This record gives sequence, C-alpha cells and structure tokens, in this order.
Amino acid sequence: MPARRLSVIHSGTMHPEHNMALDEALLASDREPTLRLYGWQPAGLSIGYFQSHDRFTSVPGDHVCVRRTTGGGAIYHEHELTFALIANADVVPHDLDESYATIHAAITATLGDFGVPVHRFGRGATAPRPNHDWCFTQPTCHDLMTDRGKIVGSAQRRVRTPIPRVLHHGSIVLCAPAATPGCGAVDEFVDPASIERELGPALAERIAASLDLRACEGSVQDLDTTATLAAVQSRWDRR
Amino acid sequence: MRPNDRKYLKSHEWCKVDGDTATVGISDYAVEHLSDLVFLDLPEVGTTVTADETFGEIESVKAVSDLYSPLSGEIVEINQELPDDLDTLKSDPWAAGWMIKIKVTGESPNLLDAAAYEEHLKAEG
Repeated sequence: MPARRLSVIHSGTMHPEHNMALDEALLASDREPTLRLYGWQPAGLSIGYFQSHDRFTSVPGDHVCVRRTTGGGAIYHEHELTFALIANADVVPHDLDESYATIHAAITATLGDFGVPVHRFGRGATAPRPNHDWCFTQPTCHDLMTDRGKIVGSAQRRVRTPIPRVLHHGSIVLCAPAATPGCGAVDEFVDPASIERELGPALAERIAASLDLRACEGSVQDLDTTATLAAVQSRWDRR
Repeated sequence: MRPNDRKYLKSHEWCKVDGDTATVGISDYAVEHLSDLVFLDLPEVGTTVTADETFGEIESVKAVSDLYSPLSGEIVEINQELPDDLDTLKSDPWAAGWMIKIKVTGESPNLLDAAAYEEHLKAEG
C-alpha cells in the first residue's frame, strides 16, 4: 500500500466563489496531496484565467460568474462532478502531457467502470490557438470524449513559489447544460443519479492509485479562505 | 548547449545583462514544455520587479504558469508584439522572443550559468 496519502475531500455542492476560493487556498498551502470533489449551487459560470468577461455577461441562466485561476475556456457548471487535485509538483508527472495522460487515464477507467465509454481526442487534432469561448466546444489532444462530444474539461495552474505546486481542475459532465448542449455527458449512457454517490469515491481511488498515493478521508475545515475568497470576488471583470 | 552569454533560473527564464539594463525571456525548453501557447500577460513599463518573484503569466492549452524575474529593478521596455505573436517564442526564444527589459538593481542568488542550467535540465528530465 502506498505510503503517501491523498487527502480526499467530499465538499458536496457549494457556492461558485467558495469553490474557487477553497481550491486556491489549497494551492497556496503546503498541505499533503488533496483531491476535492464538489458540485455547484447555484450553478456557476467559470471563465478561464485569461478570458474576457464581457463575452459572458449575457449568458442566460441563474448562475454566479467566477474567474478560475486555471486557464482554458468557459464552463457552465450545473450537473457535473468537479474535482480539484492540488499537490506539490513532484507528486504529479513533471511533464504536462504526461500529467494529463495520467489523470485522464484514471478518469477513463473510472467512467468505464460505470458503463461510460470515453476516448482521448488524440494528438493529431490539437487546436493550438483556441478560438472558441467555451471549453467544451474546443477539444484538444488530451481531452476525453464520447461520440457526441467532449465530456471532461481540464485545466492546470502551476506555481513555483513558495514551493512548486500544481492545481488540476477537472469537470465531468453528468448532464449537458443548455450553454453547451453538444458536449458529452454521463447521461448518454447511464442515469447519473444512479451512480452519483459512487462516482466520486471511485474516481478518488483511481487517481490516488495513478499517483502512487493512498486515498484517505480529509478535511478543509481549518483552511483559511479569507484572502483567496477576496481575490476570487474581485477579479471577475479584471479582463 | 544553450547560449552562454546569459544566465538562467531553474524556472527557465533567462536574463542577458548589457550595462545597467538586462533583457529577460524564457528558454527553448520552457517553450517546448508548455507547447501550444495561447496567452501571455506582461507587466507595464515602469513596474518594479523583484528577483525570484513573478513578473507575468503565460498560458498554454494545458496550464497557466507564472513567469519569474531573474533580476530586480524597473521595467523599461516590454516586447509589445510578443503577446500577439507567440510563435516568435518558438522560432527565436533567445532574441526576438524577449519579453521585458529591466534597469537592474539586483539579481537573484539562484542564477545559473549555461552549463549549470544544462545540468538542471538533465536532472529535471
């Protein structure tokens, strides 16, 4: 059994700003490898770190807008299992391609266990300069797909100081939101309600194993998110 | 062998000092490692930067990464064309792909010469 722990946090559904603040507080900390699994209540519209907010001000729906610290395109978070893997940089493969391949292999295996077949988009079809606003309409080589479309959105943030750390965000779509109706979703194959409780723990076990870690129940109750929450609340319209 | 007329940080930024001014960019290894670059955010002229602290951010289709300054000082020029032509970083990271110019007041104690940077790259794999 691996010696190092993966602290697994089942946060349930949370406000979009608190979701982002918690992930960023974990990134700024020196905590053991952590996998946080969560949902969104109310729905969230998260845009990539460099995206212009004014392209998303008229998106219909009852949602809260946030800017992620990770990159990529916008995601409408409604019926999905979201995860954040936060760890020192030496826990995940140093090479970006390898890190995505490792994490996505764990997701592929997990979804396969629940009867949801997904495949990798493939290297030959990389979109080097995304021209689309939405994450799920612009698959790149690492992305996981169903025959209908992209089913997992992913992005990373890597920092070097005070210690090298990685934040990997992943969004597994359970039911396609109205904003990105063409994306892949779990409900193409199974009723999400029938697997929702088991999917998160199973994913945690797979990700832990892929990183040679031991999944253990963790807590973030003592984590101070005051500074990161203020940062999240102040930067939506920064660009 | 990377150019030996400049120094490097382990985070893959380089600096080339000329008098009291230095040019800063990122190495070919960093560009290759990040692969498909999407956005580059550089500070404004007049901004003060501190050695080993961030001066900008770069995004590829896979990750957002901070850029770290090898030197302390005031930014006196930025490569304004670069954010709109990131292919220059691939084609010429050592000259045309420069990012900022700094009026130098200090340097990082962690600077590596070209040989030491090569050793670091080998260790990093």
